[in-house]
Amino acid sequence: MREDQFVDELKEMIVDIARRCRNCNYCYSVCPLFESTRGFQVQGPSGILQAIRYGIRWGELEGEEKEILRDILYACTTCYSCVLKCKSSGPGVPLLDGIEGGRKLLVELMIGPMPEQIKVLESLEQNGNPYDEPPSKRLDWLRDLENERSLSYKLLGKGAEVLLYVGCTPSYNEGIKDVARAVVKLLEEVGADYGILKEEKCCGSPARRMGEEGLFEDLSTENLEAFKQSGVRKIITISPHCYNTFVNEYPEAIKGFEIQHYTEFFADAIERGSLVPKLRIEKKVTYHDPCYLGKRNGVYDAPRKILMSIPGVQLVEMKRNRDNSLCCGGGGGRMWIEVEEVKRLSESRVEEAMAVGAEVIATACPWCHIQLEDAVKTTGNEGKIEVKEVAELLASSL
Amino acid sequence: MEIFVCLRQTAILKEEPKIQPDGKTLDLSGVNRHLNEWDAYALEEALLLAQKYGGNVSIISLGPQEVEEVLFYGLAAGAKEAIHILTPEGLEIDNWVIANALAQEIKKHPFDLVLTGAQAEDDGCGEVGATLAHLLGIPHASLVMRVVYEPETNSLKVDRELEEGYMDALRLRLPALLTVQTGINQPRYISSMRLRRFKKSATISKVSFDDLISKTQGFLPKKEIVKLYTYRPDVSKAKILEGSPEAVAEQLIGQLISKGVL
Repeated sequence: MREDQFVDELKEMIVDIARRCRNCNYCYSVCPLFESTRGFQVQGPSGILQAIRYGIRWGELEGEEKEILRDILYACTTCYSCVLKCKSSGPGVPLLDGIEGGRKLLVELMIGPMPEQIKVLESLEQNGNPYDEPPSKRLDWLRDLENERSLSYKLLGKGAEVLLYVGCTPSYNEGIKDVARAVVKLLEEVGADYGILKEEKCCGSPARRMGEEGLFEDLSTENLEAFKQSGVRKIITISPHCYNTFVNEYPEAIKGFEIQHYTEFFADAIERGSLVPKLRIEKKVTYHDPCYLGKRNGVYDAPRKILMSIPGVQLVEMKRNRDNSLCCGGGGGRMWIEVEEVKRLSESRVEEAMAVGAEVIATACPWCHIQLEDAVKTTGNEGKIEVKEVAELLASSL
Repeated sequence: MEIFVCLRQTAILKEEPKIQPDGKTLDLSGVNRHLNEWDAYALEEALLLAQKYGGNVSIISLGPQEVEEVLFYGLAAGAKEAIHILTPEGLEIDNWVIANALAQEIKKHPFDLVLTGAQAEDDGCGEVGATLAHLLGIPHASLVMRVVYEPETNSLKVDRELEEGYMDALRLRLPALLTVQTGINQPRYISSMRLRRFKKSATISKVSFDDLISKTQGFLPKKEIVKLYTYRPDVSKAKILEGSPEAVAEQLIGQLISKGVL
């Protein structure tokens, strides 16, 4: 495809979506960016969309203001609240497709991504992970666990029924490796015939969120090939971002696999009776819905079922929950950039959890976990409340 | 302004490389390569200067066939012309010969400014830029952090980075050569799709290294690597001190005294 053709098609798509937006601004009422910033028009969904629309129309993509336009587009958390709101109270404009289309356009025109995200994309291309970590260290977390106990996993492509797609953050982040270990312990407990890819690569979600469509295509093609080679039928993910990408964004061939988030897999196991939490955890626990699991994919009940199955756990809901849940602020490539906020979203969320007297914030997303854990510290609530992954709580009750 | 930028392809050493049995070279088989980081800044600076003051950016690189990758990258970034000095496989040359080959080719073209990165991230020598300036007979400034063109005198005003936050402001009459320091700008990101399109459609002019440099011309390497070795600090002796900050400080002082540091 010629450069001009690709760029023209993107522009057309964005302008078409923006034209369909009635600027009713109902989406502002649920936008976490609008809530956490100074509340300018361009810090909310339809404003961002109109910014790129007029950027195209007024030729600002070549002008001196192009970096301002870039900052506007990349501030969005891509939480999906605006799309849900629009569907519920209007014609249902795919606002996020327009915003993410704008990011693709800026990357294509060498205006995007944000400067801090360039190294992330380079690492995705060179190392298959966004953290500038060597591929050879991807399975180190598993080696550590193997030193503690024997495991029955298969290093694929030897063939197994279920593939545990670990993802980059649980593979490399010291604080989140325990989540991967907890999921493996749970798989062992249910006697799953499971495998882990020998040379796993990023699902591509960060690339797509930052507007790097070509890199996303490369990673999705490589992963799909690895899945096919492995011979599995079912894929379980730890991160909702990988889950969403596989379910909603991968090429058609992914439909040959059943994709589950680990909370769905273990909630099923509990319902079947093959996983029985026994040890009591006498804690007041609140559940933070990750946007990419809840709002994007409607998985609200499975993590709650797991938490309620743990003896002693008292599940309390925050004021905002399920499709009204507040985003942690880490999505949409924002894990790597600093967005000027009046109040950090993750801090607001911790305060919401404190307000209902929770001792534990349970979540089911590595990035939410990191964001909320930081916010517990920055709000001075260390020792009063802790952040745990649903898998960690479940594993510790066996 | 006609600007030449010299680009070098360097290995990305994420995994620890092994030293070859000859004790002089690294085993780089299977190692990914990319555009030398310093050269990416030089390229961006050239593109910004051409955009601001008018002119064209040409890029030049020397090496085997795979070096084409960085030239396509440079073309995708906005360079107008790319020249590849193709070297025979396995050729061992030093920076003196590289600078000579680059000089031979660049001399054939009109140029006002030549940019290189301040150094290469693999060997860290920082030799090619200065040697090339000498061979072209033009003034040179190293570790450049800011460039302003002054058309009335056809010269450049540049700031060089010194240690401890000091800067050195110079004026150079064109033609000149600058070696560029990282941080001078923010190199643009080239998307995978854009790069793919340029690889399909862009053209690179090929020049034979053997035609430029022959042994009869006396351009023989002047240096050879005698030995390549690693220095590994003994991290196994690291000790984590535990306790309150006061207790840790007390233990640390005790350790430093007992080891003879204090």
